[in-house]
Amino acid sequence: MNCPDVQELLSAYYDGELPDDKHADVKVHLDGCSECARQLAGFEKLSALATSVATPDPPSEIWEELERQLDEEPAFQPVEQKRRSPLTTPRLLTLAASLLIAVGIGWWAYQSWHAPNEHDHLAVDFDEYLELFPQDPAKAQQLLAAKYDGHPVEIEAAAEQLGYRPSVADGLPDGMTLVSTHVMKMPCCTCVGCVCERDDGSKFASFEHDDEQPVWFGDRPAVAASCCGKRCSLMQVDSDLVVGWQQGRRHITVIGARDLEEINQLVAWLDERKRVRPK
Amino acid sequence: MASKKKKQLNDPADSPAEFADVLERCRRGEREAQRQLYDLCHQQVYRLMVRTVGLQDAADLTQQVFLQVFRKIDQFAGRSKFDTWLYRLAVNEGLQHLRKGHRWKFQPLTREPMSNQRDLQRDEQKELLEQALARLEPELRSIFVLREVERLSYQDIAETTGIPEGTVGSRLNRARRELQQHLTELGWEP
Repeated sequence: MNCPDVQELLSAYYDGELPDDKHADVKVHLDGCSECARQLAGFEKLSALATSVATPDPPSEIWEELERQLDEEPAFQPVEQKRRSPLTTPRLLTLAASLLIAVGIGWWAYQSWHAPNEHDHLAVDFDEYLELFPQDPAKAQQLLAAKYDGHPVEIEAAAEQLGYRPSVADGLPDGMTLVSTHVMKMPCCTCVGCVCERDDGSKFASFEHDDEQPVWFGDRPAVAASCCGKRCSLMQVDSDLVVGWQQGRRHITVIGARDLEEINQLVAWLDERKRVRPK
Repeated sequence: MASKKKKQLNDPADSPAEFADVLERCRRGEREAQRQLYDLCHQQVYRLMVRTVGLQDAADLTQQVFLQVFRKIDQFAGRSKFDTWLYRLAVNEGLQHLRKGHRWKFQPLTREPMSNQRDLQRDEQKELLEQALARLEPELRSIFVLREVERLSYQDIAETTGIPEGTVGSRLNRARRELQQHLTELGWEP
C-alpha cells in the first residue's frame, strides 16, 4: 500500500471500520511511514478535543414549550389511532369494510361523474413540490411550472394573462421581495405562482387561484384558524406552514410560511392592498 | 407541592419490550409515554444540535425535532433502530434550518474573573472547536459530530444521512482534515 491508498482509508482505520486484512495492511504501512503516522496522530488529537468539550444540559423549558404545542395544535394529535381503535373486533371490522365499500362506490361514482383524476396527480405533484421547496425553491417552482404548462413572466404581464391583477403585484410587507412569477395552467384554473424572498435569504411561495384547493395537499390534516379575522386553513409540512385563505373572489395559498405571526402579517397586508387598490 | 413522580424509561437495548410499548403508547398520543420518550432521548438530540447549529438555536430545534417525532411516529416501522430514525429527523431539521439562511451565532463565553488556568484553557478550546466546526460545510459537520460525539458506526451514519456506507470514511477524512486546518488557522496548538 502506498501513502494515497492509506490516507484514503485512514478514517476507517482509525474508527475500526476496516476488515481485518486491510487493517493489518494499513498498520504495516503506518509503522514505516512518518507522514501517514503524523496524520493519524492528528485524528487522535482532534478526537481528544471533541470529547473534552462538554455540552451544557438542555434547558427544562424545552419540554414545557413542547407540551404546550402538543396541547394546542390538533395537527399533531395522532389521528391514525382514532381511525384504528374501533377496528379491534371482527364485528366492527365487517361493519367498517361494508362502510368502506359503500363509501368507495359512492366516491368512485362521484369522481367518474364529477371530476377527472388529474387531482390525484396534483396531490402527488405537490408532494414532490413540498419536499423539494425547502431545499431549492427555484427548482421546485420550475418543475411544477414544467408540469402545468407554466412560464416565467413579469408580474404586470401575469396580470394581462390572468385577467386580474395578482394580490402580490402591489408589493409585499417590509423585508419581503418578489423573486419570480409563473403563470400555470392547473386543472382548476389558470393560476399564478410566485416565489418570495425574506431579508435573510429564505423563501416562501404564494399561489393565487380561482377555487380552494385542499386536493393539492392530499390527506394531510388541516386546522381552521382565524388570521386577522379571515378564516384560514393551516397545515404543518415538515418544519414549514402551509396556509390558505379566500382573498376577494379568489384564494391564496402560501407555502413555507415561518410562523403564525408571519401569516397574520401577510393576510393583513394583502387585504389592505386590495382595499386601497384603485378599482 | 409534591410533584408527580415520572416513570423512567430504560435504555431500549436493555428492555426492548418496554421500549416498544412506550412507542405504541406514543402512537396513541399518550402524554406520559411522550414524556418518557423525551426524557430518554432529548439529551442526544440537544447535544447534536449544539454542535451542528450552535447553542443559540439548539433548544428551539430540539423542540421541533420532538414535534416531528410525535407527528411522524406512525411512520417509524421498526426496520431501522429508533436511534437512527431519531438522528435522521434531527440531522434533517438542523440542515433545513441552516439552508434557510440561519447561521451559527456565537455567544462569546463570559469568564469569571477568578477562573483558574485549567477552566480558561477548557473554555478557549471549546470556543476554538465551535468556531472551526462552524466553518465546516453543514453536511460534513453532521457526519463528524455523529461519529466523534455520538459514536455512531459507519452503517448508522449512512442510514442517518442517506449516503452510501462506502463514502462515510472519505467524508470523515475530509471533515477531519478541514477541521484540523481551520483549527490551526485559529491558533490551535494541540
